[in-house]
Amino acid sequence: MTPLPRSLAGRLLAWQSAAAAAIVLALGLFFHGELRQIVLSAVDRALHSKAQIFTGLLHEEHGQVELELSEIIAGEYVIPRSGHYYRVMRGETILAASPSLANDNFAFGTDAVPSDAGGAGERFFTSRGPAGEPVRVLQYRFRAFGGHYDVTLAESLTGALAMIDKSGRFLLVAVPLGILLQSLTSWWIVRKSLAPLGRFSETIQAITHKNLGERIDPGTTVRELSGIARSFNDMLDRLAHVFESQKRLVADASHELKTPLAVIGTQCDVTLQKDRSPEEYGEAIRSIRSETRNVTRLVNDLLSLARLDAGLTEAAGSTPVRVEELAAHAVRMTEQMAAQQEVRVTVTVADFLRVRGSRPTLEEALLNLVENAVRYNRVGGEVGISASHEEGGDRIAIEVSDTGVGIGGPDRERIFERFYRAAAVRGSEGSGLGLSIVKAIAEAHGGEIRVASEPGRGSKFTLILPAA
Amino acid sequence: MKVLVIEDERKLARLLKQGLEENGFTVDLAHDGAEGRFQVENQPYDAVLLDLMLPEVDGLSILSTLRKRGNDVPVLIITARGEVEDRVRGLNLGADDYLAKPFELEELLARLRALIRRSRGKPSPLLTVGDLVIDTNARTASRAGIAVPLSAREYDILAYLALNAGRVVSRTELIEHIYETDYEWESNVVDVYISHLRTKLDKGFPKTLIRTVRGAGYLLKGEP
Repeated sequence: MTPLPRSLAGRLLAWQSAAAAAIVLALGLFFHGELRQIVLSAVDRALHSKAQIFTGLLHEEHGQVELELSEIIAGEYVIPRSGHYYRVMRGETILAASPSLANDNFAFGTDAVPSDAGGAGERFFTSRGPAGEPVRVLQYRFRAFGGHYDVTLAESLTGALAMIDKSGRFLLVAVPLGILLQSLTSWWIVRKSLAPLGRFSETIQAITHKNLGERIDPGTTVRELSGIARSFNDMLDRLAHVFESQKRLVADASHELKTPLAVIGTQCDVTLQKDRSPEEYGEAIRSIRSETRNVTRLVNDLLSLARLDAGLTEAAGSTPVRVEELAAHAVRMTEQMAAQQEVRVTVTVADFLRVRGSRPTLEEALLNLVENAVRYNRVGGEVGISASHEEGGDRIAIEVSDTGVGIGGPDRERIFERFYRAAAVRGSEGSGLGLSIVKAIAEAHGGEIRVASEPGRGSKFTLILPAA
Repeated sequence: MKVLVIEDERKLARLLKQGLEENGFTVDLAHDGAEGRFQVENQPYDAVLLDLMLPEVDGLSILSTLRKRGNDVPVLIITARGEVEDRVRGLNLGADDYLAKPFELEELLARLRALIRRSRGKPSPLLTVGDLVIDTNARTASRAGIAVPLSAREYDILAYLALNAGRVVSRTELIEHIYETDYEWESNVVDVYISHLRTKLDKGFPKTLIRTVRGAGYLLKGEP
């Protein structure tokens, strides 16, 4: 079987043409059959009426039965092989026969065909006449004048069959022509009906990242497409949102990267513009070193985020990780900073608590939280790391609390945004990405991050992760 | 020439101050938008270096308020936001030039000097007053083809007078354009430099270039 065409127009055209061809063909055949039926039964009815007339024309005179034809009737029977024939027999004796038969004993075949025109004692059949032409024959047997009479009437079918043939020939041309015309009309209608689809597709194609704000007006297209148009607009809204935030992220990232580069570049330019003392050179190099550290951290953070965004972290091996070890790692990494700030870090984590996830990523998340807790703490402050099973759930909540400045309401909403830095910490070290990385890590593990804070008293970050 | 640098990244601001000062500019710093707007509205600057992403009030809104109030101090935008649309927006709001971070200090200096010259209607880096020629790029002066050695402050005062040649410049104006805003100056400091300049420039020439206008200030003029 040949597969359906892939185009909607092709399918519509194929189905419609096939259906139309079948209908037209069936109608043609039916019409042809009916016509034949009608013509033959007209002939049969005429034969029947003539038979009645012939029986009525038999009469007895002087003990002799005769057929007395009026001239009007006799006329068509006179010329030999005229196509109109009769013969009346009494028993085996020929009583009368039309001159047109040429031979009174001409025998019609008995290719009997039943007819609805027949009465009692009548028999219809189709045969060949004396001239070899197709004829319709009626044999009528009746009883009269004390004997059996057989009337045989025959009428040529040449004219009738010619008419049927003519109609057949007409249909042979008309049916294919009808199918062809129908297909052409279908093609035009299909094209016309599917045109909105083409325009719709053009509208969609015209939308690129440069005009993502444009929408398809569902009112301008056909009803069947307006639903699609609305769905498409919704999709564009979502895409535009993602695109906008990506664009903002790139702009923010480039700003954050270019600023330290500008510092490094300017530091070099200023230092090189005249001879300096060894102390000044040393100072400049130290400054460049520190700025390089900032760029490095920023680049690492950006790469972490990019990996998380790409879903690469989920693909990494997921294993049970002891919370105690994560905490110990974070404490170890922040030891020096905590000592400088005179911040005391306390860990209260039961050794049996385990979370499920990728170890280095989870280490990074907790380290970020502890680092923040130490960095933005007051001198001599405290940082607490604790963990517990979430009530009635199979998740573990890891809490990191500090005694720092706290986070005000409006900031609390936004601290997990990329590059957002609360006013209180602006100007201090940090990429502004730490908390968004923690959030991305939590979400990549099917967990979440929450914050509670009291300005002036401190903050508490809760990292919720699935238990192993 | 006095320049205000409005830049929130303190390290960069400090470096710009140093870099500009070592090239003969006098520099005031502002670290946020509000401070920057206040300073630029209350001090006469020869140019403003404006970062766009600032806390409190952002750079573009400082620029638009400045221009709305008719302040036409030359503004050079320096920003990490280097997209074409940002640049166009800044220039349309009335910025005179645009430099994307990270930039080369040399380029910044060249643009800044050009900006200041253009704002005084003197696009050439060579300022000529009579037979006095001042090379603003090399920061040198010569009279009748003979180089005149000048100290940094002397050059600053002479260059400012030359930029405003033909116009009387008051002592206060000179001080405002040559010293940092919070510099505590003595009233006769300008007179001292002017007398040094006269000794170096006018001595031995029949025509004096620097004239004192009693009660008003000083005038640098080539023609009698």
